[in-house]
Amino acid sequence: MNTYFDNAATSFPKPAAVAQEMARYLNELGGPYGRSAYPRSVQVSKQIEAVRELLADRLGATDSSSVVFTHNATHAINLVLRGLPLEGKQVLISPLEHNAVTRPLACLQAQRGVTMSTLPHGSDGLIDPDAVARSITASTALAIVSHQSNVNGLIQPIARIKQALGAIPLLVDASQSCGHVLLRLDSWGIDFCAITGHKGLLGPTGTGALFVRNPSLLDPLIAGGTGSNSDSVEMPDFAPDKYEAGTLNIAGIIGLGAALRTTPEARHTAGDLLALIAEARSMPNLRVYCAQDPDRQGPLFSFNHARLDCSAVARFLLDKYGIEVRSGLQCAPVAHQTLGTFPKGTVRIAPSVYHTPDDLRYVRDALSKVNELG
Amino acid sequence: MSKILIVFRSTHGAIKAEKALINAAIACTVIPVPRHISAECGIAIEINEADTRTAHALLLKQSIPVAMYHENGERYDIEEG
Repeated sequence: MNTYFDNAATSFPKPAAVAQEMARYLNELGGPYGRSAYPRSVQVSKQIEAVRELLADRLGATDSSSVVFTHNATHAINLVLRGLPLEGKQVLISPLEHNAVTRPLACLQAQRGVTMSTLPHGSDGLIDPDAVARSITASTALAIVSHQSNVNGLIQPIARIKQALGAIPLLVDASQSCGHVLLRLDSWGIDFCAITGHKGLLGPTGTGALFVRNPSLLDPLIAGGTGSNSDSVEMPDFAPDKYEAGTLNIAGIIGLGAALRTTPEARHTAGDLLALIAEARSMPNLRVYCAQDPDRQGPLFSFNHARLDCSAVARFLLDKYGIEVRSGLQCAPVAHQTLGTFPKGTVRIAPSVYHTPDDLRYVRDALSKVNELG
Repeated sequence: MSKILIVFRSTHGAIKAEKALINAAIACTVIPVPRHISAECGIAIEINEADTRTAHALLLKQSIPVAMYHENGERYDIEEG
């Protein structure tokens, strides 16, 4: 029985090839990326570039130089927020943003006079694309939308949102959606997209990427060695080098490549998860937080008990059933404010593709016992 | 046989170029960037001079920025061939 249901925090298990390929690099291959020309280094460089191509394909991006490796999605998001000229500007955000977005924005608010405004939405946080235009002002410089909420699993209509924004750049935080939900960044006209490697893509921690449609708009976050323009103290002005100062997480990226090549078949269906959600919703002492439209439901949801604290419920699930979940605010206070669960938070159930229908039934049975508590 | 050296602005471009050249059956060898040509840390690709026009057209089509040099370090003018 797979009782690990915290895949929105980090996914587990990973495909076996992830650790194998990372170990092979660390134990057998070694060598740097993009610094030297002997066969070992060239082989490493080819492997890294192959992962870049795989990611570009996964993101629906034809130009792989637009895919910049980062340490995680938070790094990618900060790269955009610090690299754009946002002084005194307005940034539009979804009502379900993670602190990876809201914290750097709060810093920019204090340091550079940036203002934030929330896009019009429904009670589950779903943005109304037809109402987006109302939010745009003369000082709107950027919009940021979490593609899939890490609290209720809601998937936002980012293609329609971008259409409504027009020329205003859109940063999509695809931390939760990448690996589960189709991404077509070129055809949707998305300007920036932050992803992480260690959640839905099933790669290791310490990996991520930023898609940058137009590098001329974005300054680098850090400066350092890139293996290119080495006779100059100026950072390269072309992607991906412009944003990849320092040594990449080579072992991690190789592991991410192994994950991208593996893509295991899902052992349960979206229908199985929707059935679990529906059963949870039928339990009178449980309040479930999910997308109102099942077609907008990603592979996670949250719930609370009518009387018991979410941390007490999480402890009960662990102690009695061995079920591992995250309780609290999931680093998304803004999302919880939108959903009415601030400041206490929720219990989050986040399965992976490795969970079977039996695993989901096990959770259902555990939830029915939670329902009887208090 | 005379060789032409292709130098790239990034490792990303160099790897992409090598793949394209191999797929097009253009003989190529990865070498360290000669110091008298560039201070880049990475790789250059050596091809036969006879293949230069074909290679240049291929890399242009792939949107890979390149600079080409004779072995003695003189810039190669694509109009030469």
